[in-house]
Amino acid sequence: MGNGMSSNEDYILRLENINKSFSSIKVLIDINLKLRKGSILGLCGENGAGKSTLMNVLGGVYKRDSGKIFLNNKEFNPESPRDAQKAGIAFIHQELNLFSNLTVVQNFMIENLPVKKPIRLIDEQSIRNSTKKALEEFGEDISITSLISDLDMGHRQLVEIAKETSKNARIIIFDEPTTSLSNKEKVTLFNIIRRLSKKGVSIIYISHILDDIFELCEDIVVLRDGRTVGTDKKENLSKHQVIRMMVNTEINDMYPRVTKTLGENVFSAKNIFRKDVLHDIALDLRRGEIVGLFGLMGAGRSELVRALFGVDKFESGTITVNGNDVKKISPITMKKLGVAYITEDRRNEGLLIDKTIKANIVLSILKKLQGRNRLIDKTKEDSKSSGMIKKLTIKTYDQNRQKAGQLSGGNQQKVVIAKWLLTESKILFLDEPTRGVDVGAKYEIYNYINQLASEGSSILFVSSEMEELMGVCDRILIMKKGKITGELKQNEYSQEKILEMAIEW
Amino acid sequence: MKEKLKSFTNVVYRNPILVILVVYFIITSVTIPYFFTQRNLTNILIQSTDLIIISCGLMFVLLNGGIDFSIIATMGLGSIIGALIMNTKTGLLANSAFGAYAAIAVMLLIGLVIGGINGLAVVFLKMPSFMATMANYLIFSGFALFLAQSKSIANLPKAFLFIGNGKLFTVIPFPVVITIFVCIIMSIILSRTVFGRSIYAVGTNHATSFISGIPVKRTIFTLFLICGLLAAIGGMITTSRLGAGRPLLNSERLMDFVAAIILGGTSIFGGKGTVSGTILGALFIAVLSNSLGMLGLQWYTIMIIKGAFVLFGAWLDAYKTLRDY
Repeated sequence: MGNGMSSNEDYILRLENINKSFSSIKVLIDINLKLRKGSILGLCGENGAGKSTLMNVLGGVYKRDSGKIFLNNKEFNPESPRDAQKAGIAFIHQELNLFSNLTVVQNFMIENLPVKKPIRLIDEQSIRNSTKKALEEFGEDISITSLISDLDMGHRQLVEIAKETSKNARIIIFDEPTTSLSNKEKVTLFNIIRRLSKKGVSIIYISHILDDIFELCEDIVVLRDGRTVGTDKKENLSKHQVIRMMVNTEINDMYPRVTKTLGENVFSAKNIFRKDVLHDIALDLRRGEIVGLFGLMGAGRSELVRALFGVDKFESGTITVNGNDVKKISPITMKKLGVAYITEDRRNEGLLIDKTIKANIVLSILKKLQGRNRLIDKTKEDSKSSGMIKKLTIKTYDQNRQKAGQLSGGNQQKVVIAKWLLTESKILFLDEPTRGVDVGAKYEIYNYINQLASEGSSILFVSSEMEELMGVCDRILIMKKGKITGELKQNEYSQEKILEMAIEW
Repeated sequence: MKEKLKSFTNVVYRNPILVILVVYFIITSVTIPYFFTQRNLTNILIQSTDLIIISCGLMFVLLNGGIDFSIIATMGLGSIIGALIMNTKTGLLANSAFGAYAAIAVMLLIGLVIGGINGLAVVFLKMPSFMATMANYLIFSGFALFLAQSKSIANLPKAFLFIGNGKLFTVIPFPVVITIFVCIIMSIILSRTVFGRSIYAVGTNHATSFISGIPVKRTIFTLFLICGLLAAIGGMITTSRLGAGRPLLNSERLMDFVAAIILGGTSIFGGKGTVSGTILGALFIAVLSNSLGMLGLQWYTIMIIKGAFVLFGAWLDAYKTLRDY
């Protein structure tokens, strides 16, 4: 901390040398964080820097591997979210934890309903009174009998905050709370947070919107690659300093490069518009080109690719493949036109978790497996599938027995890739293809991507990791709030530039 | 030896219904007099034919995690309208040589139409199949009762009676021939065609299938068509065997159909199930009903015992799903 005078007494919460790994990947490395009583601390970092994991360790969702947590100078070892709740730690998540089909008052005490003796009926009067009291403290006029779904996002958040504080929360953690709020709602939220802090509640405010952090917070902690890289009072920092801390300046040689020549335009999208999600998007892919698409959480990256592949409908815009306008945009037509799409949500949209590896791999080419009698040629099926398993070195003991869900993350991703490689598509949309994949498999995936491009395929590579985009792509498009806000050529790459275009100032 | 034992336990684990059926069959053959006679076994076989066909059709809907209650209406309405067309006393085509054939065509058509309505409701109106088929069951069963004035219609022509009672080459019961034919076709469709593979994929995960370029809506719609068609064929066999059109034909057997499918290893969560499993499940239900009846047990006792077996089948499905992860 910048203030050397503080003693441990001043801190309601101290995290010391927290480490956490998932399988062999270190996600948190010697993290230190101190929260002063009644203060507002801003926690920033890129996607994947470890913010959420750290908060989940604090909240009892994950168990830390090593390190100590002190709450009011007493060691604190949360075993479950309930322990954290009992200790007065509350979370306000981006996606609110309210039941939108219930009313405000019904939501309020749902975890802990007061009952009346002797037959344990729910004490409705007492709930109503305490709900009213909790809401009145925030001075907002919300009827306790209105349905959550009838409230706007700002008021919903307020209900959630009131609900958490009514449980005597001493520490409240806000995780990207402003993503779905209007400016006016944001002002209200900030006033509430300041009022809470004055009342002695300590706040951790997680955001990638630096403007908000600088407006609201007193202390700032920056995480990068699972480490604490900066801790200081707001007065001692500038936004540019914080961005530089968030960014890793060294790029290692993880990324193989190949030389190739780019061909003609094979895919273009024009004026893609989907209300509140995508605005006037234009995008081109040339033969052999790898185009990166970067955006922070909520920027609309995945939504854009889903629209381009026909998974989600959009209101207007045109898509051209190999010079021809696509009439009915759906996964079926896009597949026919030679477009492949590897989704971000591998478990729920990429794989049939419950089915065998072979069944997954051949899923996209069932029609091509038909013999002359229109029946599926099992020999062909076997050879296609095992050919891919060999080519991508998918580790399985038996493609006919082992289910996709029993594979590791990296091998699961390879199965999805295999499925689409079999279609021999020349245009590939990859949404976070290396998420949840170990380093070795990551390297292999980068290699496939390069190889495909050098063979003349065009690739749209969506990622929230700047580093891999800079390592693999020929150019990078940057999205913010459903718009493409910038483009960088390979010789212009720098993480600062990318973040400056991606962050909401 | 160890390898053999392992592969044997594997077979048992994968096809518990096969073991249950064989063990139960042996026990009853030994303990119940007159059970293991040609006459009784032929009886069981004939009685299981419509059960097998109808269960197979219903299984297709279950493969997508759905249900179809309206098969009861399909069978009742088909039975009545068919009888109204072809009966030799008052039928529309009473004196025509084509009466039976026209009736058969109409009965099959009814299956396709009701199946189609179910499919449209589920695919385009996004109704849960539970509700859509329940409503269609009420509507079309009500219509069948109205047409029949709650009575049976007898005097069916000989050509039609052959379907359920005739014998091919004077030995093979004709319904068995139909059943074998239907089962072979369905089994090939399910295991060897693009459509069959699509059914398993869609039944396992709609989103993955959709993104992989599989026509999800068309697949689900066709499942209901198949279910309706097979219910119509099964209903035809029952009608023929009973020799009369009945408005509530087979309504008391709905749970038998579901039981046969579940015991045959089909998952009610969708994505898992085979024609052979359902055949075994149906045979088991037929053997069980027959043997318990021979013991002179009351129908409610039989009900309780069947329920216990279904419970076991459902537990096994849940247990297997859990064990795999």
